[in-house]
Amino acid sequence: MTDQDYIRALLQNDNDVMGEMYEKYRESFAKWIQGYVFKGSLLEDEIADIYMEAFEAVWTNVKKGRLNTGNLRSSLKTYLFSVGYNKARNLLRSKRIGIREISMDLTELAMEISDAVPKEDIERERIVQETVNEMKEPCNQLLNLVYYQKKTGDEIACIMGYKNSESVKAQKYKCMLKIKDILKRKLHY
Amino acid sequence: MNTEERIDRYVSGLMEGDERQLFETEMSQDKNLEEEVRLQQEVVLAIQKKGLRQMMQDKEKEIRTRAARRWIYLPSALLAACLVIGIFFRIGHVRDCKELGESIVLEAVQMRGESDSDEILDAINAGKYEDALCQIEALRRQIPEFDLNSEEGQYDKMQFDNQMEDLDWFEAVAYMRMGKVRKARQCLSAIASNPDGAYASQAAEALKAL
Repeated sequence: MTDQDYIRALLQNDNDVMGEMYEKYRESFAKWIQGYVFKGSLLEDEIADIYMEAFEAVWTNVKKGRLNTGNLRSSLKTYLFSVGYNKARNLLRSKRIGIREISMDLTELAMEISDAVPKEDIERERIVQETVNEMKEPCNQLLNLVYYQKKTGDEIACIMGYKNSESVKAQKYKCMLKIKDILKRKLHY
Repeated sequence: MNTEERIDRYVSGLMEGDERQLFETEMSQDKNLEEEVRLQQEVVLAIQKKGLRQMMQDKEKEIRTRAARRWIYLPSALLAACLVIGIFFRIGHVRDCKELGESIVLEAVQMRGESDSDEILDAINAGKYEDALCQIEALRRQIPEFDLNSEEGQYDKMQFDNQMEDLDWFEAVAYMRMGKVRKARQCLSAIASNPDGAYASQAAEALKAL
């Protein structure tokens, strides 16, 4: 798979390909960040968290159009690792553990495709994510199938036991209206 | 199609060409619509992020499980290797023990004439070790009384002690020929610990060889 394939998969939420990409770079990232860069300063759990955050950051940048095959100056792996490096560095700084800076090219790489977001937007994003995370069934499963797994109405009807795709559509809108109502109250619309 | 459906189509990327352009023009002229679209986009992104996080957590679980299995498999593999090596070592050890036992010529040194010991000797030489051990055990349980005040009594006691020493030696050799190294060692150690015993030096030599 090429970087273009992976970026396309991130854009389209192709779960299988994203999972493949996740696994592909996971071990080498851990070895690199622990063995080469920060030489044993990070715990296994911390490395896992950093990698997940870095992967999510890359995904978010692709979804928001900030990262694409046009503006990617290095390999996707290098970009992912540079995001991970920044996150690891921030963590170690917060733990007041001395770090050595590696090549500035790498650290700047992540910064160029900036994920800098205004404070108020960060807070808004947090509220939206929190509300979605708190979703109960059947909305939780239904909306995941619709928007993440991109299943058709008929497939969802079969999986969740609805009468037909029309019933799925009706339930989907009910769920979305419910979440948006909650969010409008929280965001003071 | 109602507004919700249109917003959903737009955010899901299902609107194309003229339909899309028209909708975007509407958005630019209607702040409420623009806000609704923004909110829908944010909710959809949050749903997708939740799905992504679940995928990543599942992957991490798989990685941890694989790593844990490696820690189970590796010691198990090492243990299996040790067992195999141990078995081969033991087989070699047992073979040596048997060969040593076979090389010892058994005869009732202490006893002369017919005695129960002859039957035991015959059983051992015929390879009937279990029989021999049974007979040894049976003879050991028979502890006669001796009149140590008489010469005859003292002589009988001496013969009995000699017989017991023979039996101890036969037992050791039987275990050696059976390849029962640990048992053989135990018996030989007991014999060698009595320096005045008839078989002490032979037992010591055998222990060294084992």
